[in-house]
Amino acid sequence: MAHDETKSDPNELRIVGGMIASDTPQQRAQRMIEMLERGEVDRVRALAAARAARTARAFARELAKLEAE
Amino acid sequence: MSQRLVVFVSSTVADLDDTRRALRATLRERGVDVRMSEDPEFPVEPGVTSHDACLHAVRSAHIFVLLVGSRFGGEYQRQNKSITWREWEEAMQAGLLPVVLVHEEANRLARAVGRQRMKLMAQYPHEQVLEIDARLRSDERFADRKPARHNLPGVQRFIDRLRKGHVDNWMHLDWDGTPREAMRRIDARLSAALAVARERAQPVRLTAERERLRLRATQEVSALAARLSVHVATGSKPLGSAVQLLLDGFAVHCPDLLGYGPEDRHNFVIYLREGDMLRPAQRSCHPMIPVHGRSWAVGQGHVGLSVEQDQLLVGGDIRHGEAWIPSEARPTDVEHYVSAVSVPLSYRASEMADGALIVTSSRLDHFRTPKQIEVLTVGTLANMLTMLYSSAGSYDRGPRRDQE
Repeated sequence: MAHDETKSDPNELRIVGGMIASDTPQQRAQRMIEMLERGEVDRVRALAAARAARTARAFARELAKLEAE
Repeated sequence: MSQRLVVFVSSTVADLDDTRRALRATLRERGVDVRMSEDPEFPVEPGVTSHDACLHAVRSAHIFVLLVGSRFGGEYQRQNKSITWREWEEAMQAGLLPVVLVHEEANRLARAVGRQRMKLMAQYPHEQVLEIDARLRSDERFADRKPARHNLPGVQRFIDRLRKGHVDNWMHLDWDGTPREAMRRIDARLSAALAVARERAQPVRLTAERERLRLRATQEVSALAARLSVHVATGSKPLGSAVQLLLDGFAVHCPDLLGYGPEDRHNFVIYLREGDMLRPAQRSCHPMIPVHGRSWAVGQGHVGLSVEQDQLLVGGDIRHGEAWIPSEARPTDVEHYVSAVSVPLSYRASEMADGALIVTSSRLDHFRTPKQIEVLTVGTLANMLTMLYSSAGSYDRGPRRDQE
């Protein structure tokens, strides 16, 4: 099954590159530590970029919703 | 921002002064505010150089008119680019509506120079840009001719950059050099410019999105710092390793945290004080930056001054500040370390700071004022590091396990 970091459903558990989208910030931090310790910097960077893209899209949706109101 | 339409006219002066004056007169007749780099009326605040005041004037304009002839003009702070080039970069960064008029003769020459450059680069693959420029200038076809031509290879590089730097149709490579034709083309863009001047909502929106991403990245590295401090406090990780991981986390998030672009080279270094010396402890930097592991005396260099004065220091171009110490052994320093922020770190009860975080960028003016959001964010990152260092001593469990 393909997993998509870009979709945001907080109730859905999705595993992306070893990270679970519904992780708490501390859980994410711990996974990040483990990946950095293994030298997987590119993987951490890709996950950060995916999360940033998701945040940007969510922000755009919020703005669009506010403008529509 | 002025309520009137503001046009900044940028060009070399020696060859295009008549055109500049004619444009200014015509535009002012129409009620447009016109700014030029040599204008004496730029508001200069205390502590702000005339160069910075000029760049500020660029940012506060709506339209950026760039006239390009066959003269390169004055070089900008040994950057291998002209002052006009730097103004154009500033205008693009600020989102001004550009109108670029390249004299058709300059464009024709630039194309010829470009073709010859390609041949020379193939012939001398190990030579630097300036060395190729020198070879081109020694070619009679491209040599300087007063007053119309100066540094054609530099002009060619600039025009090449202009060509690559746009996707719109505002660049005109066939301008005949007359003020009348320049005005005609500027007029064609005025309606669009007025729309931009009236509606600055889009940049506000982009800023809001950028800040949202910065906030998210700050949350991520805050959580990382908190998690690492637990590891350090409980002794499950040595302090040095934890600091390294946190710096790596900063580096991963540095595009959103601090606005590093794809071409910018980042460098995060922790210096710890041993007496009057600051020794490099941990570093996370762009792979192109060589690591020398240099130590600094307190009061020496950007980081040393920051510790001595016990305050955050920021420099848009540290290579021209008093703290810069050139080194023949490290010739690439001038390319990698351009702007910098140094923040003292204090986590013990000592009279002087215990160390410092220095963050550098290869981009000119990336960090330039203490109130800039990127600089304030570096201060926040330094606070996270202080928390991490402090956590090493927060549990009294005998000898500290952080000494590596």
